[in-house]
Amino acid sequence: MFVITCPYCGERDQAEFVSGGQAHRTRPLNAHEMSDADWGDWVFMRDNPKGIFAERWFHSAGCRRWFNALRNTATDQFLAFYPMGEAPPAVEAVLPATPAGEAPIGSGNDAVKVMRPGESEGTTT
Amino acid sequence: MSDARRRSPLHGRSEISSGEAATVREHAFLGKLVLRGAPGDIAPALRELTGTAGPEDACRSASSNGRSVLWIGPDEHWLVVPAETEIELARDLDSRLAGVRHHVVDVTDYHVAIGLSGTKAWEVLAKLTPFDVHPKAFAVGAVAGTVIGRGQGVLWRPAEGSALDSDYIVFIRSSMADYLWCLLAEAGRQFGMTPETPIGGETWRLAR
Ligand SMILES: [Zn+2]
Repeated sequence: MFVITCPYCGERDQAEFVSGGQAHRTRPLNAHEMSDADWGDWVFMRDNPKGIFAERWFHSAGCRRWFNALRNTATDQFLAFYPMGEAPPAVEAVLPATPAGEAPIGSGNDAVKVMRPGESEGTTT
Repeated sequence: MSDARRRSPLHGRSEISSGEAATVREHAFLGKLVLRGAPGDIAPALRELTGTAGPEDACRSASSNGRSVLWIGPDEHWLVVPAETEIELARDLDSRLAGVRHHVVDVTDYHVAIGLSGTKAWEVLAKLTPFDVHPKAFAVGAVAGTVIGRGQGVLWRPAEGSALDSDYIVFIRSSMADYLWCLLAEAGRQFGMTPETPIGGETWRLAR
């Protein structure tokens, strides 16, 4: 569980919120001209980056308003909160993206784990 | 207007108390209106009809002469007024706000108001919500929509002008009122409150 800062209500427990997935997606206006594959992409496919991700959140149990947030998906750290319809603010994020220093692809994928100085094979963190 | 057939979802319940520590009671038929509209647009009508222009800050309330305006969202307020005065107020608001972008909905029977009082009232509530209800964090006049037990509701600490004599008020949807009532009794067991059996007959204990 973590604390999310609603732009209207302030800091509240995650239990009060619903995640709305990736933000800044614009519905294509030419849906009737699109191929099934392109339409399928728009409907079903989302970015899933490891690192900074802009997503929508809904304060469902509180003020019942939607807002946007920038979250580091590797650490669950929220970097910014901003109203719907606004462009994401520039943020400075400290990388590496994960506390354990895994490779920038996948999650917990030991086959491509980056060894940090002083870390030996077989060490679990 | 009063009709003897009118029954609250909690009509079978009567006040439960463990003395000074905590008391749970229903504020039956407390009038509740939802008012949507830009705060600047609706303030003059509110001042005229309720005696207060509404709270200046988010998550706060303003009360005067038994009429309260609660901040629920950036363009949403609840008006909490004495029983049976809400219909007239809704009509007056609508005519006073004619031409102003707004809407008024009577939700008196949709939400049930359960009042909590006593020295341990906040500790009873704290078992059921992730919101910080300690009196230092949640001062008199404050409002918070949050999760309460398995439901969602609005917590409120009515100020003197509200003419409500509970320390905390919980607004919960009517279908969940009996559930919350029994859950509050269970949460108060530590302070000597007697358990209440849910109408549905379900049995549960709070994990401890
Ligand atoms: Zn909020």
